[in-house]
Amino acid sequence: MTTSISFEKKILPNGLHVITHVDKSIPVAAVNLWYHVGSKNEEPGKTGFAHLFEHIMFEGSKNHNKDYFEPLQKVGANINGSTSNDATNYWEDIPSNSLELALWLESDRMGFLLDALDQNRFDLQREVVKNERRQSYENRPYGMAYLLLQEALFPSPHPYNWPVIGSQKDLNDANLEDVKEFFKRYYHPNNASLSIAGDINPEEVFKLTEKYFGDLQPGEPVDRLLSSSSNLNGDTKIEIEDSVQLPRLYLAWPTVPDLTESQAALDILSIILAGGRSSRLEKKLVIDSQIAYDINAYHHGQEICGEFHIIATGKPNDSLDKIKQEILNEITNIISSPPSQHEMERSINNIEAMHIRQLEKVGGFGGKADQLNYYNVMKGDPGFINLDIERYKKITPDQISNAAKLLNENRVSLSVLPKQNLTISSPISDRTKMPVTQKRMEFAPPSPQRIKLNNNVDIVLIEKPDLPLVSIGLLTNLGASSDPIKNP
Amino acid sequence: MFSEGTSKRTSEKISEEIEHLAFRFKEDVSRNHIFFSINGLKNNLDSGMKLFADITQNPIFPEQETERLRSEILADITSSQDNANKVAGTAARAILYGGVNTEYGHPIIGSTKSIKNIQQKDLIEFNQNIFHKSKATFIAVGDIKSPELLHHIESNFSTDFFNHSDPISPPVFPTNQFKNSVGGIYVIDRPGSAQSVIRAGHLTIPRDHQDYFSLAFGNYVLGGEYSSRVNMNLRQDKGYSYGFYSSIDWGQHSSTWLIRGSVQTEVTFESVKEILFEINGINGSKPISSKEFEDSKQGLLKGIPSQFESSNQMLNQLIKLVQFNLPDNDFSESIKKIEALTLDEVNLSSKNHFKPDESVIVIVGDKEKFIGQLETLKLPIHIVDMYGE
Repeated sequence: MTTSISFEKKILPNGLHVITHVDKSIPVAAVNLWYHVGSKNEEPGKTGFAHLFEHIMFEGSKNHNKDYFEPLQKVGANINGSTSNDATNYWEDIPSNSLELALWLESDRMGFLLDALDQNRFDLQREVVKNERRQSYENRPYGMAYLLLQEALFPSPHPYNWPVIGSQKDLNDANLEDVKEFFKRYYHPNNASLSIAGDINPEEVFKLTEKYFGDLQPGEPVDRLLSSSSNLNGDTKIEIEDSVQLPRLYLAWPTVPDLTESQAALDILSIILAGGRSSRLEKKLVIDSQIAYDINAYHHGQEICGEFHIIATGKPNDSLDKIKQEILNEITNIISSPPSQHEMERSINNIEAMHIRQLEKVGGFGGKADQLNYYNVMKGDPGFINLDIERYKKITPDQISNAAKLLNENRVSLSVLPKQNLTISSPISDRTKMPVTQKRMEFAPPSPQRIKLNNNVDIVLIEKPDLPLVSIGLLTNLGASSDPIKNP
Repeated sequence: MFSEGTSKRTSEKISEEIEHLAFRFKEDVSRNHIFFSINGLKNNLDSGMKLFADITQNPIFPEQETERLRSEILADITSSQDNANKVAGTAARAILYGGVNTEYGHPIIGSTKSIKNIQQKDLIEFNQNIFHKSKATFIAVGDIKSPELLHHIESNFSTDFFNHSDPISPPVFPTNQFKNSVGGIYVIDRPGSAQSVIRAGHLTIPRDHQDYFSLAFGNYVLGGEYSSRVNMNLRQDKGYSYGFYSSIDWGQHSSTWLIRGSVQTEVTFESVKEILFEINGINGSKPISSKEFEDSKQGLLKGIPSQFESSNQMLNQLIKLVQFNLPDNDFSESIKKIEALTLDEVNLSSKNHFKPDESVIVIVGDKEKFIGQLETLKLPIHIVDMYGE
C-alpha cells in the first residue's frame, strides 16, 4: 500500500519555511503555521505566555485591529490553534479562492501584532484563559492530576516542569512588557514554518507567501535544546483527593526525545500493554480479574523528552496497590520475554491504519498540512511523513523489551482518591487592505448511490477512492426510545 | 453487547480479530437509531465484513460478558455523576422531556437501577423484538464500487435477515400534549465547584418542519460559531467564560435547543442575565441585522465543502439523510434552500421559535454562591438532582 504524500518546500530569504502539498478533493486550502515556541521556552514565574499568545493572536494586529474570526468565518473558514510544551500552531481551512485572506491575516499578526496589543486586550484574554484553566482542569473530574503529574515527572529546572496553561498566580502576575518581550524573541519568520495544502497551485502559493511574508523582519536565532533527561529519581508517590467516586491510578515515566528508535518501540509497547481488549493489561485487569474498570497506556512523544503513561480506574473501595503491582509485573515480564510476532503485527497494523486515516484531511489538527509542519519543525524535513511508518515496521520484539527497561523505578505514581465527604449533593505592497472577499466556489456535494436490496433494505453509498479505506455500517430506525420504559 | 460473543466466536476472539485487522467496530445508539459500523483498510475488507456480519446477525449475549459489561456501565454512570457537564446534560434532557422515566427523557446509558436489573433474556428479547423488526439500511463510504459492496453484503447477510415486510416504528413523542410549560431555573448543587455549568433552552420544531432552515440559521447567528452573539458577549466582551455556544439537536418528533457553556462561579448570576438578554434579543428585541444575516449566510454556504472531506463526515451526512428520510439529492437541495433564505424569514422564525418564557435554565455549581442573587430574577427556582427530580 503506497500513500506517498508529494510536497515542495522553499525557504524565504528571511528564514520562513514554506511547504506546499496539492490535493484537489474539495475546494479548500489548509493553511497551517507553526511557531517553534512552547511552554518550555518560558521562565519559571512567567509561565503560560506561549498559550496566552495563542489567544491574543486572534484578537487583532496593526492592519486588522479586531477579532480574527469574523472575516474568516464569513468566508466559511474553520480556524483554531493549539499550544504544547514545544510549539504553537495556528490554522485556517479556507475556500481556496480566499487563500490570500488567510495569508494576509497570518502575516500581519506575525509582523505587526504588538502594534495592536494594549492593556485592555491583554487583561480580557487573561480572564478568558483563567476560565479555560477552570473549565479544563479545576472543574473537571481528575483534571488536576495532569498538572501535578507534569510537575513531578520533570523536577525543576527541567523546562517541562510547568503546565502549558500556566498557573493562576503567574497569569495574575504577568505584565504587558514581559509578554511583549516574549513575543519579540520567538514570533518571527525564522522561527516559523508555514504549510499550505489542498486545492492550490504551488507556484502561485510561493508567490503569495513571498508577497505577504517576504518583507517581515527576521529575529534573533533561537537556541535549540535537543534533548534533556528528567532528573527524576526513584518512585515519586502522590496521593490527591478529588470530587470523584472512583479511584484512579496514574503511572508515568520520562522517556526519550521524539522520532528516535526507542520512541517508536515505546509507541508499540503501549499498544501491546493496553491498546484494546486483546492487549495484555486490559485482558488481565479489566476482562479476567476485573480489578480495574478501564486501563490505557500511551507514549507522548515530545521534542526533548517523551512521557509514557499508564492510567487505570479502580473499584470504589478497593486499594490501587494491587493494580499497580500487576502493571509493574507485566512490565517485568515483557523485559524478560519479548512480545510475540502476533502482538507485533497487531500493533503495527493499528499504527499503519491510524497513519492512513490521518491522511484523510488536508487541514485541521493532525491533517496533512499540520503533519508536514510537524516533521519539518521536529526533523527539518517534511518528507519524513512518508518514511515514518517504515521506522515502526523495522522494530523487533527484542527492541520492545529493551524499550520497556525505560519504564524503571524512576517514575511518578499518582493516585486520585474519592474525597471523603465532599461529593455532589445528589447523584505587503499595501498591507492595510484586506484581500477582497471572493465569490463562493463551485462545489457539487457527492451524490449518494442507492441500491434496493429487497422491499425493506436499502444500501446507500458514496464512493471515495482516494485512500484505501472503507467504512460500512448498518442503521436501524429504532433506538433508545424503544427501551422498555418500566426499566429504562 | 453485540461484539461480546456470537454463535461462532467468543468475545475474546472477536476483539482479537478486530484489533489484529486494525478495524474499528462501533455501535452508536441514539434516541431513534442504532448504527453499527466497521472502518478499516480495504485489503482487509473480506475478513472485516465476515466478522461484521457475524456480530450483527448472530449475537448470543453471554452471561459472563453481560456481568462484566454491567459492572463497566455502572462505573460509567458513577463517573458521569462526577462530571458537571454530564450532570447538566442529563438533567436538561429529563426536565425538557417530561421526566427521567420516559421514552425520550431517560439517559441513553440507563440508570443504576435499570442496569442492575437487565437480564440476558431481556437482551435476547430486545434483539428479537426490536432489532429484527427494525427498518435497516446499509450505509457505506470509501474505496469501493457498488457491485463489490453488493457482493459483500449478499454473501455475508442471509436473505431473510432483514426481510420483514412490516417494520415497526419508534414511539411517537407527544409534542402536542407536552407543552414547554416548565420554564424557570433548575439548580443542581455541587459545593466547591470552580465554575458553574449552564444549559439554557427548550424543545423546538422537528427536523421535517418547514422552518428547519430558517431556525437553524437563527441559531447560527445566536451561538453556532465563535463570532456568534453568546460567545462574543460572555467570552469576548466580559471574559466570564472560555466559550459559549448554542445548538439544536434535531429529532424526528421534536428537537432540543440549548445554549451551553461554563462560567466562573462568581459571575453565575450576571451570566444568567446575559443569557436571558440574548434569548430575548434573538426573539425580537434585537433582531438579526442585515450585516449579521449576510455574513452568516456566506459563512454557512462557503463552509459546506469542508463537511464532505473525510469518510467519517460523509458517513454522518448519509446517516442524517437516511434518519430523516431525506431525498437522495438533499445535499445539493439544501444549499439552494439556504441560498433562498431571506432576512425576514429568519427573523420571523426566530421570533416564533425561540421562546424566552419557556426557556429552562439548568445550573450545576456551588449553589450558596449565587442562589440569593438568582432569586432577584423572580423566576421559579427548583433545586433538583441530576435526573431533574
